[in-house]
Amino acid sequence: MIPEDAIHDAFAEIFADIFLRDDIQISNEISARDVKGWDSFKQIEIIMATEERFAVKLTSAELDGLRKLGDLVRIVAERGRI
Amino acid sequence: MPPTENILLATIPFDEAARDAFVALSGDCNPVHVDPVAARRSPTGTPIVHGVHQALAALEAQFSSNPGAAAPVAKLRISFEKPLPVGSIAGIVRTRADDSGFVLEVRSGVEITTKIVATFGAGVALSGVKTAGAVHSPQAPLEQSEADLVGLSGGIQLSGDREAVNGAFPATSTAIGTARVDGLLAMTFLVGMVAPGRNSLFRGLSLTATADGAADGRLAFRTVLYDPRFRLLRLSIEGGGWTGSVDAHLRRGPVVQPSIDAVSHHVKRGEFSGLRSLIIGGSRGLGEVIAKILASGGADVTITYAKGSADAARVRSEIVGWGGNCEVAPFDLHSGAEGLDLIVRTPRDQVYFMATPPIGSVDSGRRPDVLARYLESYVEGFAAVVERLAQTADRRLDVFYPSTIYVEAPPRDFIDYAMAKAAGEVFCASLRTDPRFANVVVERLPRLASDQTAGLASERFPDPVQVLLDAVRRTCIGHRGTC
Repeated sequence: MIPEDAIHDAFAEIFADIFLRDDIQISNEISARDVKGWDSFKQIEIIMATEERFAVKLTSAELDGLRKLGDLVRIVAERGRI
Repeated sequence: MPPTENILLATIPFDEAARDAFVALSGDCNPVHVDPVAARRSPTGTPIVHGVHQALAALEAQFSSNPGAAAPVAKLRISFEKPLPVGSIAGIVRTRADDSGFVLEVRSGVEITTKIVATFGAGVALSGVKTAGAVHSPQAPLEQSEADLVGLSGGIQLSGDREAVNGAFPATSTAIGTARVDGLLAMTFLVGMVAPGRNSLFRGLSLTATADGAADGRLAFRTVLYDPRFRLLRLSIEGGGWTGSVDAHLRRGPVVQPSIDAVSHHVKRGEFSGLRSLIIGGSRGLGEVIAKILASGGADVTITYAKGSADAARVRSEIVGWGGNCEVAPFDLHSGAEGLDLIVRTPRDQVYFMATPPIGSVDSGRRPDVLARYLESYVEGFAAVVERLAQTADRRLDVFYPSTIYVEAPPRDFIDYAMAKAAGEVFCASLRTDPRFANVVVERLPRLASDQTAGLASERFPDPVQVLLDAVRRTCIGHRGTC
C-alpha cells in the first residue's frame, strides 16, 4: 500500500495543477463543497490525473461513489502504484 | 507560483461585434458561438464567447499594461472554467505576478470564466517529430463521432495574416510573437471546427513555446487520448510556435425525445379529446413530450416557441403526420402584451408552462442576478401568461406548472433556481383560490432527459412519458368529463 502522506503530497501537486492555485489544503475530508470551482469538469480532471499519476483505473461504481477526496485516497492506497 | 495580487487590468465588452471580428480572424464559426437557435440546444443555452478570445483579450490587457516589461513566455496554461455568454462584460484581473510569470483571470461578476498561467523562460527546441495527416480547413464545423476522433491526426493551416493578427492583438503579438498568436487562433479552429468539431467543449491548453516559431505555417495535431467515460479528447499539438496538448470534450448532441408513435402506446385513445391545450415552450424538451401526450390523446394542441421555429415545425409535422392536431405560434416571454395577444386569439382550456431560461449551476452559491432571471420567467412571465389566458378563456382554465425536486433539497449550485420555482409554486397556490381556474397542478419533476440536463457522463433518467403522462392526466381531471 502507498503511504497516505505520499498520496496527499501527490494530490497537492495534482490540485495545484488543475485549479492553478497552490493554497488548497489537502485532507481526506475535502470535497467539491470546499474548493471554489470544483465542478463536474474539474472532477473529471482530478480523476484523469489520479489515474495517470497512480496507474490505476477507476470502475464505474467507484466513480459513482466518490464523495470526498478520502474516497479517492483509499482507492489509490489499495490499488495504486507510484 | 508568483505572489498574490488582485489588479483589474481592463474591463472588456465581449459583444456580438467583438465575437464576429474574432470569428473572421480565427475561422471558428462553431454554432455554440454564433447561432442563438443552435446554442439554445447546447448545455450553455445561449451563444458563448470563444475561450481563446477571452485568453487573448486577457493577454492583451496584461501586455498592453506593461509595455516593454514582458519577458519571453515559455509556458502557457489556459483553463476554460465557465461559459461566458456573448454580450457579457468581463473583467481581466491579474492575480499574481513576479519575475517568473503571471496569472490572469477573466471574471464575469464573481465567476471566473477563464484562467491563464504564463511562465517566463526560453522556448524549447522542437522534437522534430511532426504529425502526419491532411490539412483540415472545413468551412462548417465537422460532426465527429467518438470513432472518428480515435486515431485522428492532421494539420491546421495558420492564417499567416500578420497584419490582421497584429491589428487585433498588437501588444500580445509584440510580446510573444505574431506567429504564436496565430497559433493560438489555429487552436480554437482545431477544436471548434475539426476535433471534436461541432459538438466540442473546449476545456484548456497546456503549451510550451518552441524556439523556432511557426516555421512551416501549420499546426499539426494528433489524438493521444480519447476517454469514452468522460467523452474527453486530448490532442497533442505542434506548430504555430507551440508544442503541447489541448483538452476538449465531445458534447452529446441535442436530446431526442420519444416519437409520438412511441408516446401514443402509453395514452388511451381519445382520453384528451375536446381539449384545447396550449404548451408554452413546446418545440423541444419536456414541452415537446407533453404536446405529443396530449395530441396522441386527441387534444387540439398549440405549441409556442421563442427561437426554435424549425424545432416547432418539426414537432408539428410529426404530430400532424401521425394524425394529431397541432398548431404553432411564436411567443417570447419577454415580448410583453403584444406577444400575449398572439396566443390568446383562440380561447384555451389549458396551459402548460414549459418555457425556461437556460438552467446552469452557480458554483459561487447564490447570485441575485441569476435569481432575478429565473423569477422573470418562472413567476412574472408565468403570471402574465395565465392572467391573459384567463381573461380570454370561455371556461375555467387548467394550469400545469413544472416545479423541481430541488425545492425540497436544493443542491448548493442550484439554490436560485429552486427558490424561483418555489415562488412559482406559491403563485400557483394563489390561483387555486381564483374561480377562473380549474385544475392547477404543480409537479416537482425529477431530472429528466432534456437539453438542460444533457451532460458528458451517461446518466439514466426516468421515462419522461411516464412521469409527464401522470401529471397531464391530473391536469385534465374532471375537465369537461373528457379525462
